[in-house]
Amino acid sequence: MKAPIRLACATALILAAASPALAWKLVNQGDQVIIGKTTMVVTAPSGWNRITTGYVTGSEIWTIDGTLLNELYIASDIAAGKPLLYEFNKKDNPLPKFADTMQLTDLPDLLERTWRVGRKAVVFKTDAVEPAKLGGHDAVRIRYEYVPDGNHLTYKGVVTAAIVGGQLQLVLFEAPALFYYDRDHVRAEAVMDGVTFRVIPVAKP
Amino acid sequence: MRPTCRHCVGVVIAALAVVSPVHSAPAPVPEHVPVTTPVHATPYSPEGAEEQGLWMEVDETERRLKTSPQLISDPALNGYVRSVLCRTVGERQCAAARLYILRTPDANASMAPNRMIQLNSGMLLHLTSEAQLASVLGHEFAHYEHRHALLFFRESKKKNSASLWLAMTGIGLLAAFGIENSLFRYSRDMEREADMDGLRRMAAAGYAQSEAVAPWKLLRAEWDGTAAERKRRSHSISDDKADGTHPSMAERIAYTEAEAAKQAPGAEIGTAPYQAALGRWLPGFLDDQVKRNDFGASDVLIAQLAERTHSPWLLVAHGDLYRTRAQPGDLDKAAGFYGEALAADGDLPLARRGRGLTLLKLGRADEAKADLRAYLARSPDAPDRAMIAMLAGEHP
Repeated sequence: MKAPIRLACATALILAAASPALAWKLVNQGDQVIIGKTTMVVTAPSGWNRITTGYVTGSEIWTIDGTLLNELYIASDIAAGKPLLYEFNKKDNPLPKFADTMQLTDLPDLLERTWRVGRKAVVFKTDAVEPAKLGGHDAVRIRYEYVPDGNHLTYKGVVTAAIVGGQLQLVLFEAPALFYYDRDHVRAEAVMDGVTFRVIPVAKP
Repeated sequence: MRPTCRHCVGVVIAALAVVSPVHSAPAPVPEHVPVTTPVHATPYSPEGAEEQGLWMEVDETERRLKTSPQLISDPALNGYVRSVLCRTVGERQCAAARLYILRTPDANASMAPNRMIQLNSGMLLHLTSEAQLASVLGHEFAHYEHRHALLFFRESKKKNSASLWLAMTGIGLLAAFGIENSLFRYSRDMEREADMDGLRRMAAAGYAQSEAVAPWKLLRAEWDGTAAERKRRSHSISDDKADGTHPSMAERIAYTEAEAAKQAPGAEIGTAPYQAALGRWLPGFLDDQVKRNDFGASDVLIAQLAERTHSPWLLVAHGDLYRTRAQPGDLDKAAGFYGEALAADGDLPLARRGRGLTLLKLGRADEAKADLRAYLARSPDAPDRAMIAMLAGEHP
């Protein structure tokens, strides 16, 4: 076996060994999923594909056809001082951070500023900001659309976010405005409506 | 205004299809010997396989640009920018240029070899006068007329070929650095030439050359603002090394000011017509800037724009900037900015909204609700109506 092929096989084996967290898994209707060992529990109202490595600790990404076509980003227990997405360039292009002094009315702005940096959003438009509930807690539902810089595709999104115990909880769905958003957003909003929060037992000393 | 990657020859070559940014200035003022010869044939057609190939590439870029969702097609704004271009470069030359204004907060402009000019909304926000716009457009047009993109393409092709051959020898890598440096030196010479050419056009059109340095000084101040906020080294320090595709801002400022000092006083600045043309776009461009998550730069930018112009929208943007940062003392400052904006124009719904949300956090609920109700009354179609109505104690 030639050296490059051996190297490729070894890499594949290493990746396969490390894959449980990286592999896509099926979520069936009615499954209860604890998001990243956090307080958030989602009862799936329909079938989704799920990967447990989201953009930040305690987050997951779900999709139907692939994340470029429909992406459900579920992030729970985001603590004060943490961003909503992974920071690729902390020094030169830091993301805005969640603060526990924020109110629900601050979240549309936090989302937009995060998306402008993290997803290179330009021509960002907030279509609606409405009171909502997430797992029984007061929440805000934001509908938005944007174009990534230099891209021809407009994306539409809807997010339900709440601040529970000083931590940010959000379920966000985003898809191209062309076809996919209109087809799938109701299914995504059903996921948002199926969120509950659990009490994590504190370990005895 | 400046390319993102300054040390990557490959990217520079590609970027040349969309020539380079505008001007910017260390101390000794160089003698400007013409580097290249401009083309004056109108309409000009590309000559030879290289130039035709380059045009073909940028024609494709332009084809995509025509349908970009970022394109600002407002006839009034486009008409105004074109009128300044025509006055600066002449009616005959300007007729062949195609202008595209794009919604993106990066302060940049470029002109491609096929006469396509791209002007970012972020650049328009950084300018305060018609003379400054003329300096940007004049500089970019000089790049086109001197065929800088083609010349740089040929130079880099020649030097990269030599670099590849040298890479096969032991000293290849060292030589590659030298070749890259010489390419950047060549690019800097072309930028200086475009600066001086642009200044000559400004003078011929009756614009005040002294205005050309304002955007460069502003950008340097913004770099320092970003660095102070993030507790980092300012980009101004690395820019002073002048080892990239453009001369340092300090150098450009120095030679431009030396040139402007020779101009007779009384040349046109054109602050009022520029502000009028920017008019309805200013709030949106400011919002794009405030939401870039660069507090230091935005704070400097808004403060300096406010020194030269007096739009209440600058006060609203300043209020938004401090309200969203919300560090100790910021909310009081934000309330002050919104208050000044409303004193200047009592009918600004977004100033009412901003002050209402700020006062709510400051515990002044009654005043906050009054402002939020005033916002709702003035904005029947506000996207956040339901949420604000709940805060104001109203039914949506």
